[in-house]
Amino acid sequence: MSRSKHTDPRRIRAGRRLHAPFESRGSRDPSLRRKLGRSLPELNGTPGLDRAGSFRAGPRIILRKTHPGFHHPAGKREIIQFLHSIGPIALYGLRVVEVVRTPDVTGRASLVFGRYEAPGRILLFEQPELPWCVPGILNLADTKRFTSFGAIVTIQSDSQITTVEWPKDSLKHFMLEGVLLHELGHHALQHYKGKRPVRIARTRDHEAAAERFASRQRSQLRAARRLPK
Amino acid sequence: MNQGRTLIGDSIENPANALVMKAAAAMFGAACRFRDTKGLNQGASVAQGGEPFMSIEPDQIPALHRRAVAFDNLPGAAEIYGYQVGPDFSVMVGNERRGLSYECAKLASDKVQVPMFSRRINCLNVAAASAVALYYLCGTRVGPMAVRGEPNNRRPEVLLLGAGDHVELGSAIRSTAAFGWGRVFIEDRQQVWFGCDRAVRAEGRAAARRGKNEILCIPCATGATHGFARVTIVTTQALGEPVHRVNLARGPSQLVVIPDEKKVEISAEAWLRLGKEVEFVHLQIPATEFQYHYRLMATIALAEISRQVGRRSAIKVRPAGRPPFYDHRLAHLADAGGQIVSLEDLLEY
Repeated sequence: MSRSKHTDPRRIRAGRRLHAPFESRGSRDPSLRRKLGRSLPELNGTPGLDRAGSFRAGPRIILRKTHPGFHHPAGKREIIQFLHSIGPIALYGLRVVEVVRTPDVTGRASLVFGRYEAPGRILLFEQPELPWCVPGILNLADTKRFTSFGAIVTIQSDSQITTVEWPKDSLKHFMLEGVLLHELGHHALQHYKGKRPVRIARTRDHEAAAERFASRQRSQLRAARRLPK
Repeated sequence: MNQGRTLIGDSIENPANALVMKAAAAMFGAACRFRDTKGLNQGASVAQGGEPFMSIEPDQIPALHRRAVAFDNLPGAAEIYGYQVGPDFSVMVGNERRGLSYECAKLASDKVQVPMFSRRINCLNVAAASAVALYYLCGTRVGPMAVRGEPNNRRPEVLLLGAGDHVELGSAIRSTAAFGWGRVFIEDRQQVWFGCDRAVRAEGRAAARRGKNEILCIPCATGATHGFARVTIVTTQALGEPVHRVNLARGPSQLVVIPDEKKVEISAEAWLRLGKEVEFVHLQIPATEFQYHYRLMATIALAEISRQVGRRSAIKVRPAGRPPFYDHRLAHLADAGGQIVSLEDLLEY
């Protein structure tokens, strides 16, 4: 079976490209890497690339001002730390992470958390000050998702309002592990497909793939004890 | 040859056109000669009082100047706007109906044309076309025609004011249609277009090619007021900026007035009746004294406006599709969570 840089697994390719974005295709000898891979199978020939502390070509992090009554749960430094804890697979090809104001939303869903715009742009939206008072009854899936990150969801049946409280840093964790990881999942799927500015899957499949990526990464992070359970 | 440029009329039939061509050439300091294959000099006695037109044969044309420019809508012809031909050239224009003959076209070192935008009128009056060619080739440095997404949004309204001759006005209307206007305002003070007698009317309509010219001619009462945001008056007097340095592509809120300066006194006219802001622009005519022909001035002005208004890009660019984006948001909320009703209440109900 032939082995070249073109058939590298995603993880190896991402690490290599992040460390040396302008490296020529002919540089480094893949056979040497295979030998190293045999001797160090746990690193697969890429010593120190996975979950490395710093990359030459990381995404830009842009923090915008919020509307009055809104705030950004996660700051710039926290986002950078979180991205580096994920590793190169999510960072390769990611151009910018912007923490921005809420977009104009049509329809009744008033809370928007994040957006992935191909190619390589992630938007994290500002969130209203706590507690959140959401008109209507929150559905079961959202309630479960919020509570899994530590939120306290209270449904006031008399006034048809759902109150969501986020104690301590739970909202920040939700924005990073719940929202940013999900958007990184969109990016990973979109970026490795090659046809980057076009729709490569149905929205439902894209969302499902992003959620699978997020849950897998979340469990890895928790297993590595980088984040509290 | 003493002069550095010559206007050559190839097989011109109408002596009146030939006379106006001579006037156009004189405006730009050019000589004017004709290849006479249609008996032009036989009709000259009526047209110009017996003085024959200077003739030329095709074999004399290459020796006349360094470059010979064929001015016709020939295949592969370049646009006249921004075309550099140097100081020593001859311009050849063709017969009123048939255009430039093959004998002359094959002698040309350059082929240029003025872009036309009408589907029905694809050429100008030959004398008016000669004036446009000489205007742009004799030193008025302008850029190429603008390329816009929607050029018609930039097209100003045009008012032809006070024309004193029906043929001159007809030719100006023909030029207006050929350059892509769908309508034109006419302030007909001399009654050469509206309300004239049958013979004048027929000649004017013939000059305008009214049979296939679909332009809408809107009559304006003399001295009527208008509410345009900007009014630009095109003159041959040294008033204001040169015409190519002024924005004439401001859209329908702009009115470009082309007065017949033989009949309209520019300084005595109440221009503020037409709009809020009034500006004057002038055509850069090298000669200080020349025989004024309304069709020439109007056509040059319209050509310049047409250049600034521009045209659509020849290459169709497909609009880039919106890149996909995926929002992460709350699902739609239920309006109500339901209500618990006991069996007793239900039975009572």
